[in-house]
Amino acid sequence: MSTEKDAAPRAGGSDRSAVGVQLIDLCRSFGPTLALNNLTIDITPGEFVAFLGPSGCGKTTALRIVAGLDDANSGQVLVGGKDIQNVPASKRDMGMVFQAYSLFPNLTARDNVAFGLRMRSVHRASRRQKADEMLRLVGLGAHAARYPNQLSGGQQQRVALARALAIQPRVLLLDEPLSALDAKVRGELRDEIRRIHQEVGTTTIFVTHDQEEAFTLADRVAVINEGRLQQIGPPTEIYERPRTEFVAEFIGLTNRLQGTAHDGSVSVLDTTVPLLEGSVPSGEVIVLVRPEALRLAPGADGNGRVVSVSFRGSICILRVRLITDQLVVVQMPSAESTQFSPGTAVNVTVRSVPVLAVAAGRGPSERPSVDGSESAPSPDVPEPVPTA
Amino acid sequence: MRKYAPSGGRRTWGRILFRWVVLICVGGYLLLPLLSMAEFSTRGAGWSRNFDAWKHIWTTDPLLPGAIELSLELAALTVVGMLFLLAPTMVWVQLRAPKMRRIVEFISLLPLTIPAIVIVVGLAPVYRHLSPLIGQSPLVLAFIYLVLVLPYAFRSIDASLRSIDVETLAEAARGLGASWPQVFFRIVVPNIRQGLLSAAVLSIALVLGEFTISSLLAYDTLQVEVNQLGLTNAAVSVAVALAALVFGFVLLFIVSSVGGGRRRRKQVALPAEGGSNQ
Repeated sequence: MSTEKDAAPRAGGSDRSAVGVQLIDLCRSFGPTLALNNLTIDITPGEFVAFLGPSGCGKTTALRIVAGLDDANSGQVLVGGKDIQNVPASKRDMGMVFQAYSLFPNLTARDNVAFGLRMRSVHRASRRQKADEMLRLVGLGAHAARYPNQLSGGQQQRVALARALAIQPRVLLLDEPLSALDAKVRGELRDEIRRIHQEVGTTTIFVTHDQEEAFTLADRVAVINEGRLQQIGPPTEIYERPRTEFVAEFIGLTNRLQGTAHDGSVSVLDTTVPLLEGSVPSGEVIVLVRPEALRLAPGADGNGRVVSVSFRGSICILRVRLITDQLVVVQMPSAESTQFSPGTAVNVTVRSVPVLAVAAGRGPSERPSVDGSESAPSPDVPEPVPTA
Repeated sequence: MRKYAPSGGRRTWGRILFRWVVLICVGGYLLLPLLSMAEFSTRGAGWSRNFDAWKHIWTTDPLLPGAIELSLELAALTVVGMLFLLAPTMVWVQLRAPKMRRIVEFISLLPLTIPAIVIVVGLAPVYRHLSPLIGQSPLVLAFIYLVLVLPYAFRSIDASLRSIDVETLAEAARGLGASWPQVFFRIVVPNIRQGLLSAAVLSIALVLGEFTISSLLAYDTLQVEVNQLGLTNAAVSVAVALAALVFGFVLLFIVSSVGGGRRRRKQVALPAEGGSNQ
């Protein structure tokens, strides 16, 4: 009797079409530490969602709960509309790629990829064919006979990706799979993950603390902090229309400027701009303004003076000290920056884009942002993300 | 550069000389007793040499074959017991109850700190009570040996477990649909194979060389018989002891060759890639 069969689904569902994932009020604590605090996220079928947040925010915990490698204290995980809380990890039909290299050292690349199929009693010839197909998909068709210790880090992660995809998972879970790789390989593999997702269409959750990765790969980005969902939306929305102070400061660079809010708009740097949803509606506020939302014009009677100009290829980063002694960062196309040099007197205004205003008197929450302090911003601050 | 060559050359020669001195000292320390045993067991009348003692190994003491058989059976039982009890326990502790690791380590190392005579005194009453259940077979010694080999087996297996990321490998395998037994036998065991083999070799060596407990409990194991032989025929006794040592070395060599051979085959199969991360 033949034992041959396809990589059949186990956790309910009988088709390979993409499924939705819902995390509903997930709570998880480790001793006194609350890792997940009523986390609720709804992922549509075939969607690529990135969980983005600082270290320890709970994003990996959420992923592990979805994978069945950890249990929530309360809440539900629905996959394809079915609660999978009592389904063991081995029967959830989810492919997972770990941050650490997780290939089985005793198996070749081909056998690693075929492992999940073997666990599903797929016939030897079929699983070999599928494994080779998956290895070709990740560009490692010629490396099938190699053992993990004969592969570089990037190649190992590709094999891990092929292994996760070989079982035709209902959901693909990627737990910072690129973080152990160098920048060049990371960029290449990132593009490859995106290409493969477009090709395969599996619902994918990608955990990262790297916003560039999240923005490049994901259809939607879920920003998580202290176990709570701060905001979820397309990358452009997250960047341009942050709903919380945390999101505004965690994503890209942010200038913190004093302003006065009234009637849905705010006056800042002698400019009136509209307020984003979630802003403090009136009174003295701190306005969070992106570097590219600031506009410079040369002028001896301006409100600031250029401190430094930093060339970054197509864009330039200028640091400007205002007459109030605040230091702000301005981003502009390199072609426009030629008229500015250190010492140039300038007038700084805000473009008419919606901004987030938070209550005055609160310090920056998490990430290095540019505030009005005496000290200049660190030159190591992350590259501002250009407006999409 | 040329100016410093002579002193560099002197340093190189000095290092070579030092290595040889160390090698000769260690080799002499280890081999001299064996050579002395070989010399003693082949000593004939006057300055002559013969292998009479070696030829009479099987005829001098009719109990010797049985003792060898018993020791080998005990070694096999001990190894099987150790592999089936300790290895899964250690893997389980590492995966599911890492906080218990210290306790398991402490318990495993305890036999090192307890003298054999104390173990015998402590276990003798237990054996008396259990004898109606487990009988009088000398194979029950395997229970004690199982305790005795714990420290050595624990260290070997622990070192292997620490050399791989068991947790991640197990999680990856679980995610791919493997049950816990499949995780253990298909993923963990093949990757700690060297440690298991080392633990087995150490256990065999310990059991084959154990004298105190079997003697005190009056079981005729190999070492007890060798001791008995020494009282009647010293040359045969030394020949048997030397043969047992050689057997142990051969066994160790075979086991390490089996473990190393697989690794070498993997490395020879294809050359490792360069340092590229691509």
